[in-house]
Amino acid sequence: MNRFAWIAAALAATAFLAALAFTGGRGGPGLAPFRPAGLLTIPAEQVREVEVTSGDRRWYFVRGESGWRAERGTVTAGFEARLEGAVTLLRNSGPERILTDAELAGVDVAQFGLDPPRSRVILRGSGADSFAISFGAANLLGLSRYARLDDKREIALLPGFVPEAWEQLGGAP
Amino acid sequence: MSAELANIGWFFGVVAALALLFAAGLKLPVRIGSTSRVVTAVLVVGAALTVAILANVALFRHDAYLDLTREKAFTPSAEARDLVLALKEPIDVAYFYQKQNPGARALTTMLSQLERQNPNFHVQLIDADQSPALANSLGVRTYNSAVLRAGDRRIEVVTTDDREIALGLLRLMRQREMVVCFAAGHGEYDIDNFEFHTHFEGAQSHHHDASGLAVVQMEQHGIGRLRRALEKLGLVARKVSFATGQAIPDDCAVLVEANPRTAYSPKESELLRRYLERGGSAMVLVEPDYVLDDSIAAVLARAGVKIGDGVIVDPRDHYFTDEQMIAVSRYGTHPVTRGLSLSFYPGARPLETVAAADVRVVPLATSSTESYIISDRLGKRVEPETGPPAARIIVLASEGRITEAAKPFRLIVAGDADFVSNSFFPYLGNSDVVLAGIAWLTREERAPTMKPPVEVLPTVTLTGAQMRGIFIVTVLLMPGLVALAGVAMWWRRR
Repeated sequence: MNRFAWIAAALAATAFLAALAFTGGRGGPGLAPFRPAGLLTIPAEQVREVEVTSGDRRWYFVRGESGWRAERGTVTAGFEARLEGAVTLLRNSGPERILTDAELAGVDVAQFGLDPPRSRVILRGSGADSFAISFGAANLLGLSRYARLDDKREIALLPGFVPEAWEQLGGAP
Repeated sequence: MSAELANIGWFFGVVAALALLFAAGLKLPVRIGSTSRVVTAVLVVGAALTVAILANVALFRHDAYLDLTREKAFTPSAEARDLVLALKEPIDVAYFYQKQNPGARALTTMLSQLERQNPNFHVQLIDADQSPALANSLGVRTYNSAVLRAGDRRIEVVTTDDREIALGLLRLMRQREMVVCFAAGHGEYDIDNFEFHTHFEGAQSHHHDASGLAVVQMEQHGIGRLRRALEKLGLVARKVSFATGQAIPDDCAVLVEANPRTAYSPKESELLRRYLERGGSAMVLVEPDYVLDDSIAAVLARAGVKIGDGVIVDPRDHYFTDEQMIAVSRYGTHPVTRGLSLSFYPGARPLETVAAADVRVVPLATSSTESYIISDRLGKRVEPETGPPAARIIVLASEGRITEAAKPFRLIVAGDADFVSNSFFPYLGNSDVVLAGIAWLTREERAPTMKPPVEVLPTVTLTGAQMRGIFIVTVLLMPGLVALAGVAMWWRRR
C-alpha cells in the first residue's frame, strides 16, 4: 500500500472514531423512557367519543369543549376522571401475552369468553380513526383477562385492572 | 454419566458419518458409469434424501440428547428417571405450564424425556393460557401445576422442578396411608420445631454442645425439617405418648424415639417390647449423655443391641476440626446404605452388638479404626480411656423376632440424635441416612427412593484429613517447591 493510501486509511479511521465519539448516548442508570405499551393506538387526548357495553349496561360519552359528558348511561360524580383513567390504562398498559394465530389453531376460542364478550369498548378519535376492543374471561389466576381487537385474530391477555376500569365506569362496584 | 456419554457418542457418530458422506460426495465422480446426466442427478438426489432421512431416523430412534448447561437444567434427575422407569401402572400427567416461564418450559422438556423412558408414563403438556377451560375442568387454579392421575387417585403438584413431580408420583403410588409416629413425653426433639440453628453460645467459641451452657441456653433443637421431608414423601407424621400407658398404635408404620431426655419406666419399655413383638419397626436415637434405664436396655439387648457409654473421638475422619463430629463415608452392606454419601454425627456414643436368637444385626455406620472413647466430652483429656483405638459402631440395624412366636421386627439404633435435628439434617448425606432408614423400617426399601429437595446452599465439605491434605499441598508443598527451585537456581548460578 502506498503512502497516500495509508494516509487515507488513517484519516478514515480517525473520522470513524470521531463520528462514534460525537454520536450515540447512554441512558441514566436504571431509567428507561416511558413508552405507552397498550393496545390503544389513538393518543388519549385525541379520543372524542366512547361507547362502553358491560353486560346490560351501556354508556356513551362525548368529549366537548368543557370536558366529557355522558350522552347515555347512568354515571355518578367523578365519572370524567374514571373515564380518563380507563382510556389512559388502555393506552399505556400493555398485554402480558398475545396468543398468535398459530397458537389459536385448533383451540376452542369459546373458552376465552369473547363470544359474546363480557364487555366491549369502542373509541373514536378526532378524525376517522376508531378502535374497538372486547374483553372476555379471566385467565387461570384470575388476574388477567382475555381481550381481542375487532380487526385482529390474535387474542391478548391484558392485566385485569384494564377491563375492570371500564366495567366500573358508571360508579358501580 | 454413561447415558450422557452414549448420547454424545451417538450424536458425534451421526455427525461424523454425515461429514464423511459429504467429503465422499466431493471426491467421487458426478457421473456414474455411462448413465445419462438426468439419471445420475436423480440417483444423487435420491441418495441425498435417503441419507438425510436415515440420519433423522437414527437420531430419533437412539434418542440422542445433549444438555450442555452446567446445572443440567434440562435433564431429569436420576431419582426421577429411576422412579419413572419403575412405574408398573399407567400414570397420566397433565402439566399446565406458563409459556413465559423458562423453568416451566425446561420442565416440559424433562417431562417429554421421562415419557420416553416408560410407556406407562403419559404426559400432556398444556399451555395454561391457551386452555383455561381444560384447566378449570381439572380444578387447576394456578400456573405450572401438574395433575398426576392413576386410576381414581389424583394429586396436584405446583412446581417447575422434576424432583417435585417425582415426589408427587411417589405419593400417588402409595396405596395406603403410612404413619410415622414420633415418641413424645420424654423431652424428645419436637416435630413442630422448625428452628434450625439453636445452639449454645460459649464465651470462648461457638459450640453445638453443652460447653456454653453457663452463658446462654437456647431452646432445644427440633426435627421439623425431618417431618417436612417425610410429609413431602407422602408419609404422615404424628406424635404418640408413652406416658399414658396406652399401647403404641398399630397404624404406626414406624416409631421414632428421637433424643429422649428422661428415663423410661419399666411399663413404657414393656410397651415398646410388645410393639416390636407385634412386628413393629422403630428408630431409636440417643445422645451420649442420656442414661438408659435397665428395662429399655433389656429390650434393646433382646434385639441384639447394646448402647455403650462415653463419646467417640475420631482423629482421622471428622467434620472440620472437631474430632467428636464423626464423618462417615463407608457404610455396612445393607438396603439402608445403598448409595449413601458422606454423613456426620456430632457427638456420638458407641454401640455394640450382642448375641440374640433369631436376630440379625448389621452395623451401618462406624468410625475409623483410629477412633477411641472418652467419658467426659467437655474434658481436656484427648487420650483413649478404654482400650486401644478401634472402629466404633455409630448406627446399626437389627431385624428378627423378639420371641419365637413373635412377628419379625425391624430396628435402627444410633448413638447420636442431633444428626437428624434441624441444624444438621439437610447437610451432606444426613437426610439420606435417616430417610433411607425410615424407608427400610416401613418395608418400602424396594420402592423407588426419592430424597426430597432440602433448601441449603451448595457447599464443599471436607473431612479433617482432606483439610490437612489441602493445607499441606497449598500452604507448605507448593510454596516450598517454589522456594526450593529458587535456591537451586541461585546455587547453580553461584
